Amino acid sequence: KLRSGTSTSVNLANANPQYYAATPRVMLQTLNAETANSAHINKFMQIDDAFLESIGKGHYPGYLETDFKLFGQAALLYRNLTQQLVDQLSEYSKTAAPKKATVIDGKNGAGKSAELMKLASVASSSGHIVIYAHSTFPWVNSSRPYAPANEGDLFVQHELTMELLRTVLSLSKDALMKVPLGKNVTLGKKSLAADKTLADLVEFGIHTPSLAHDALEQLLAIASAQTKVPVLIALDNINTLWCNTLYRDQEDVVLPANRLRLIRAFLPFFEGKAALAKGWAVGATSYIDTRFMPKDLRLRLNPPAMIPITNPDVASDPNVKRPSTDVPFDVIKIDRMTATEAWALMVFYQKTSVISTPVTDALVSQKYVVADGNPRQIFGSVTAYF
Amino acid sequence: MRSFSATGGNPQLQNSSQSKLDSKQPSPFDHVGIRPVKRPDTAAYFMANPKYADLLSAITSIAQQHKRPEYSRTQVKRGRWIARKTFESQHSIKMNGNEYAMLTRQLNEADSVYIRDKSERDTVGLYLNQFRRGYSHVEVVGMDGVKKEGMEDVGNKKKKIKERPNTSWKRGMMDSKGRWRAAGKRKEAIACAWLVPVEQNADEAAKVKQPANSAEAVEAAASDATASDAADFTTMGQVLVNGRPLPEYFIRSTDRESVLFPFTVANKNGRYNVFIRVRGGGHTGQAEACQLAVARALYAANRKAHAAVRAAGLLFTDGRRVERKKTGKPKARKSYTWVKR
Repeated sequence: KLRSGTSTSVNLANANPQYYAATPRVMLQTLNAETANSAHINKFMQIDDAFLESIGKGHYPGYLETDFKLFGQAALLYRNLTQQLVDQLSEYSKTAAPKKATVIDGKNGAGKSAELMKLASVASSSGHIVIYAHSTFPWVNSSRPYAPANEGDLFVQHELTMELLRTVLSLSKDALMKVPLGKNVTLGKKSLAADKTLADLVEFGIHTPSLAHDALEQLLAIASAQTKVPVLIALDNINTLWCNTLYRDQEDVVLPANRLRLIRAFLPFFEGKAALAKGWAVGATSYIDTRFMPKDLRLRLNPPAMIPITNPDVASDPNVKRPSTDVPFDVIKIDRMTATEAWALMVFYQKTSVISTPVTDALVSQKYVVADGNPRQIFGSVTAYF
Repeated sequence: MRSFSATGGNPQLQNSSQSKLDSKQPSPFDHVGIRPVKRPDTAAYFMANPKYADLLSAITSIAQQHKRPEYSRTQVKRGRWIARKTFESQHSIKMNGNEYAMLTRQLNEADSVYIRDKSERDTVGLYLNQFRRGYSHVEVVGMDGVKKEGMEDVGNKKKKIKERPNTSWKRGMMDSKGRWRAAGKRKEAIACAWLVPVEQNADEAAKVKQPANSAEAVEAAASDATASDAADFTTMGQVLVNGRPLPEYFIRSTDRESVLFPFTVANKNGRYNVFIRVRGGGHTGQAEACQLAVARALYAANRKAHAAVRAAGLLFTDGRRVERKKTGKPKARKSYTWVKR
């Protein structure tokens, strides 16, 4: 729920134009494979419209919808971390893919979803096969229909899978068309020839909802095995892969996430059981809805401060147990913004009339310290009335 | 039973009564068989607090006997005389706040007079020194310059007052590790703050000054704030409260603003790393206790540069406390509903 100042600021975009000035549109460079370089660090860049249409306008991750509505355009700050992620993506697209997936973790409002969105946008423009889910909460929060699978104890979500395939096709149709199936793929009663491409497979899955899961699994299997076109699997709210869903089975028992076929398709990549031949699997955690953040995972990602045991007797005692921090993926922690990033943020806010006062050293440092360098907190501090 | 020998008793009266007692002249009451009661040394014997009254009159008499310069309140330094509790512990004189204020006023006046006679000046100085704060050696003497009876005879050694721990850091001082440390209180909350200046990185500051390309240079020129303005700060300080970042500990933005208000006033936001330990009270009390501690430490770090902190009144403790509940009322001021019948 937005605070009164923030909600008023955001909703002014739809206010009567006779009384309220329109949000000034700032000319920004579009973020793509060419513009994603170190020259644009600490500058705001616009997300590609084609990318936004592919994921569906209004389907923005986290709190970004509020930001874009206020700015009047989908623009994000190109940070130093973004450049590091882009460099990593570029490296993995040329060399062998890492054996472990990567998860971006950090506090609420640190910019995890924004970084993932920028990465997916750059990958899409650079010819990757992009499998991007801006939010996996609908997969587990029982807001979408589900049904027991024909075989086994899994549950299927045809609608969601179909939407995901539609997003994949719109994001990277050209890249999908470059990859042939390489073998005859049988889905239900239909068979796709070996010379067909992944684009045909995805289209088949879109037009046949009951076989969408099979199409997705075949897509992942073939795309992860080939080295012709790099693949990017980007899932936001990655913690939902290990949570208890709000679904229940026939015995009214709560379903864990791994009993959903859609989630089970991606789980091996983030548990180290499957790997991409060429590309990168990236996820971003989310602490917005703590129901879907397993306690065990939270402790592993944010372990309590542990003093090293110097006493050899205590160290060798098998009964002494310390919280485990082992996770099956690599973790990138997003810390506070730097001072220059905060400055760039405030300058952009001033250009888009989010703040009306001139940007000075005192203002930026005051907002920065109050928010402890957290972009969400800075935004809230700037837009709140009190 | 009250003693005749009160602290700072009038020596003239003492001498006269002593002479009377020593004399063996016949008394008009001898044939009556009534044993006369000794007259007390001072008129204050019959007062509620005779020791205090004697002390006050003795100090007042010093100021009255000698010409004093024009009294100026600004010349008086606070914390010059021993505390009220010290009067009670060292001199066995109990007094309330108003009486202490009156006494210190008279002490200030007595201390400001000029006494021509050197011996008298030394005597008065010695007499007043026993009430002066910070004196490590104290000889409890009366107005006549004679050591008080009943006190320990330490001979040539000087009697030392009980050494108290150095608590001057509470008002703000640099500790052994180069941190500025101070304490603050508000209601039941007590906070202790440590301030460490943040070192700026000159290399990063130079990089920020150059715009990336021509388009950005045009934008930078058009905007009110340019990248060069950001060159003044490249590293921001962090505020930790009980080991947690400020927004995590104080959820309300008003509390966060309250903690950082001294920096805002002194225009030093982000220039210091702050570590605060706070306990007791509620969230607002803790926030304002942190504010006082930070203000004191900041003022101690550089009094001239941070004079705005003092001008803003941030160095004064807010002494308001929860008013006690009174009998016959549900709360301090609230009354029960009046019922006609």
